[in-house]
Parts: sequence; structure tokens; C-alpha cells
Amino acid sequence: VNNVVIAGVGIHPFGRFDVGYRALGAFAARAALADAQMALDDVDLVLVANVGAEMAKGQNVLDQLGRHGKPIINVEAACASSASALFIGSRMIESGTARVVLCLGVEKAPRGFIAASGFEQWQIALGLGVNPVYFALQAQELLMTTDATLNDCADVSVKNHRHAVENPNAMYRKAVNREQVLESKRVCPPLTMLMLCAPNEGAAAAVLVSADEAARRGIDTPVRLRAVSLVSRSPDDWFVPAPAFRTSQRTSLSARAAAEAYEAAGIGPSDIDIVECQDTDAASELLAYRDLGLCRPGDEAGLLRSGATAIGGRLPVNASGGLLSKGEPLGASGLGQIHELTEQLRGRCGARQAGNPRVGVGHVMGAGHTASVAVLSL
Amino acid sequence: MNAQIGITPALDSRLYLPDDARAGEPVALAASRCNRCLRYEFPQKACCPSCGGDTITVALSRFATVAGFTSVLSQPPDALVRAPYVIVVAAFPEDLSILGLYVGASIDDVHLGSRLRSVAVAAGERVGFGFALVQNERDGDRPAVTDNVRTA
Repeated sequence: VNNVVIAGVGIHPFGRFDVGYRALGAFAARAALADAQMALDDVDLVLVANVGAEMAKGQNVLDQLGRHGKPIINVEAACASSASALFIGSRMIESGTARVVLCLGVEKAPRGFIAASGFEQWQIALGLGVNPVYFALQAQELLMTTDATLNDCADVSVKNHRHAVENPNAMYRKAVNREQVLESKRVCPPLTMLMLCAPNEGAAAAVLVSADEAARRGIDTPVRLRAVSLVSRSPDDWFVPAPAFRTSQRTSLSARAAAEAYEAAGIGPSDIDIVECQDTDAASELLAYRDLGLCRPGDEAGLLRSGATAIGGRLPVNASGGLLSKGEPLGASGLGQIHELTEQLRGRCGARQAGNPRVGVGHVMGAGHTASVAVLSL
Repeated sequence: MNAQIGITPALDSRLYLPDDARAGEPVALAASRCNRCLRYEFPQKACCPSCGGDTITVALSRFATVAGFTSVLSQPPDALVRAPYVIVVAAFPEDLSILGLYVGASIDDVHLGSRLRSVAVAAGERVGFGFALVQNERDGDRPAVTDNVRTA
């Protein structure tokens, strides 16, 4: 069942640019095809992940590359849009329906508050339609129920910003220290500006092929996409934009997505060498340590403090700088992770290369309750 | 008042308030309860998202406990509330935790475990809900509600 190979990846840096989303997307798509040594005509199906652009966005992006007449399908699931495209694409390959699938994520998000996160009008009117409120409440709970402190949250930002210094695709490439993070503008206490990611612009793409197709094309040392899980809301999950939750029991979308992906890939958390996770805010990265099984519940801060999750540690998390440093182009973020993991497994990350990883995990979590975990391996 | 806010958006208040709710008054929020598994849901849902059973409308307890809180310090677009303001997680005895606007006088009085009561609040020309602190649950006093929600 492990038949999917990542033949090529491409990225347009994440940041702010004076070009439209079509050009951003076309740049990443071209880069991925070039990396795969393919032309658009080789592609059987294009999946385009985007949240906010316009109607027929994928069609409009692909028109920059060529008019190849093959199916183009647009996919949207907030911050899990890219992962949803990857989920469909991988299954199209596995089922034999397509031999070559181009998955592209692209976004040109407006500055400031993310509008239209799925809140009801009454939530917005009553001041409840604010994404960082959810992250702040999660952070507060983490600080109350574990030994994690606000310093630990700040240190997640410090770590990821340090990683991003060596990532030319990141928006913020300046190292920051704990005091700067703690003293940055307060947004929703306890979270400060530098503990939250900023929506921005960018694009990322991956070309998926079957193992047979990879062999036929002479792709040596292929990166395999061993699993992509995708889960939606169960009764006791709680995330943006849910107005309420059951007090006595709360389940984790991310933990469920991880369990499904690990089982499908036949791995366990101890097999993982490198992780890119949804660090929408600093506390979310700590929660991801738990949800992805990287540590036991309650040991999140301990794992961070041990240095394991920094480049040079045994299990680097967000070697790319994460969303905290790259910014988050919603529809592109998941494929941005796939780009980073693929390049890390290939050993092509230069100064931010995190050892010689053989198994990488990507994790995203989207408004509207969608989580996904991808497992890549050499 | 914000001139850009012309017409108050539909607040769907029938989903979470009783028909006789009056702005500024204490209220028992409306929720749904599943006939089959007895699970509560807020706002009301026609069928239970957990087991699919039919639901009935019930009045929640008037009092809850602060299980979490944060502030919104920058003005969100389209909110009828003036930043800065506080959001609380109100934990009800019915095993429900509800996010709501804190409409009390002093933010400094909000702590984990503080007792809250549900209140109907004016939001534009319509009525929404929020939570105010209570000192004494047996008092018949009206909660101290300040006007941090715009009344159009």
C-alpha cells in the first residue's frame, strides 16, 4: 500500500510580495515540475489548495504554465487545505487512477485578522470570532495542567526563529531572544505577537508519482509518502470556530490523525527523525509534541528544554522555522512542510540541515476541525 | 458607535436565548439536550452531533464557573464589542463549557474559579449573551453589566 513517491517539490518563499497569487502558485508549480524533471504534460491531475483567492483559482494559476487540458480540482479546508490535496492525490496514485499528480498550495492572505474562519455572525458580533482567543485558551490550559511555563512558550519561538535564520524561504529570518518574545505586543494573553504566526503569502508544490513510475523515470533514492491521514471533527473535539465544548472529555484531532498515519505507515513515534508541525502559536507546538506522541502528556516542556527538538537534537521540530518564522500562507502551509521534509530527507537543506533524517512527519490543523499527519521516508 | 456598522447582523439569538430575554437582565441560556444520550449542546442543535438522536430545548443553569479567560486587545473587524475586552470560558454544571463575552465591571476580578451568571446583552438592535461575575448566588440583584457592547 506504500506506493506513492514524491518525485519533486517546489516552493515560492513565504512573505509579502508585489505579485498576485497566480504568479506565486505558478512559481512553485514550475519549481516542483523542474525538480521532478517533468513537464506539465506529464501530469494526469492537478490539485490546488487555497483558501481565499477567487473562483476557479487552480485553473487560473495553471493557465500561467500551460493549457494541458487535464483535470484541475480546487481543494479548501482552511490550514489543512494543502494536506487535503495531498490526501486526495496520494489516494489517486495508490488506486492507480493517476500516475502523476501535481499538488499545489498557494495563498495571498490579507494582513491582520484572518476573516471568515467559519464563525457565525453572532460570534463575530459578540467579539468571539477571534482565532488567537482559541490559541490563548489552549495555552492557558497547557500552563495550568503541566509544568510548562510562559518562558517555555517563548523558547519555542526563540528556537523556531533561530532555525529560520538559515531558511531563505522564511519570512522572518532574525533570531530573537526570550525577553523579546515575552515583551512583544500582547495579543491575547498569555500569548504575545512573537508567539503567534502571521498570515502571509507563498506557495508550495509536490509532484506525486507511483513507485513504478518513479522507477521508470529513474528516480534514485526516492522520498516515499508512506501515509497521509485526514480527520474531521468528532463529538468531543474543540477548535476554531466551535462556541462550546463538553467539559468532562476532550479528544484531540491531531492525536487521532497521528495514530491513523502511523498505523498506515507502519511506524511508531520512536521511528521519527524530524517533524514539521502546526505551530500556529508557540503553545500549539508543545501540544503537538503530546498529540504526535513525541512525549508523554505532561512532558512537553521537558522535551523542549532537553534540546531534542532543536536542530542538533535527536528529534528536530520545525527545522524550517515553522509557521512562527515562515508565516502562514493558509492554503500553502502544509505543502510547505512537505517541501521542507523532502529536502531534509534528501539532505539538501544546507546550513539548516538537521542531520541525516530518514523518517519525517508533517502535521497540520485547520479551522473547522481538520487535522492531518503525513509520514515521509527514504 | 461606529458609523461603519449599519445594520446589526442576524444574531440567531433564538439558538441560545429564551424568547423573553431582555438586554441587561440575567438569563438562563437555551441549549439542546439529546433525548437518547442526554448530552447537552450549545447553541441548540436539532439533532445530537454525538449520537444523532432528537433533541429538546432546555434552560441551562443560570450560574457557571470561569474555566479559562483571555483578552482581546485589538479591535476585531465587525465586532460590536469595543476592544479591549475579556472572553471567558464558562463551565456549566451540565458538562458544557461555553465561550462568552465578559460583561462585568472590573477585568481584574476575573479569576479561574470565579462564579459567573449568564446575562442577555444588547448588541446593536438585537440581543446576545455574555457572562457577569456574581458575588452571591442567592442574591436577586442584577449583575453589574457595563456598556462595553455597542447599542446602535
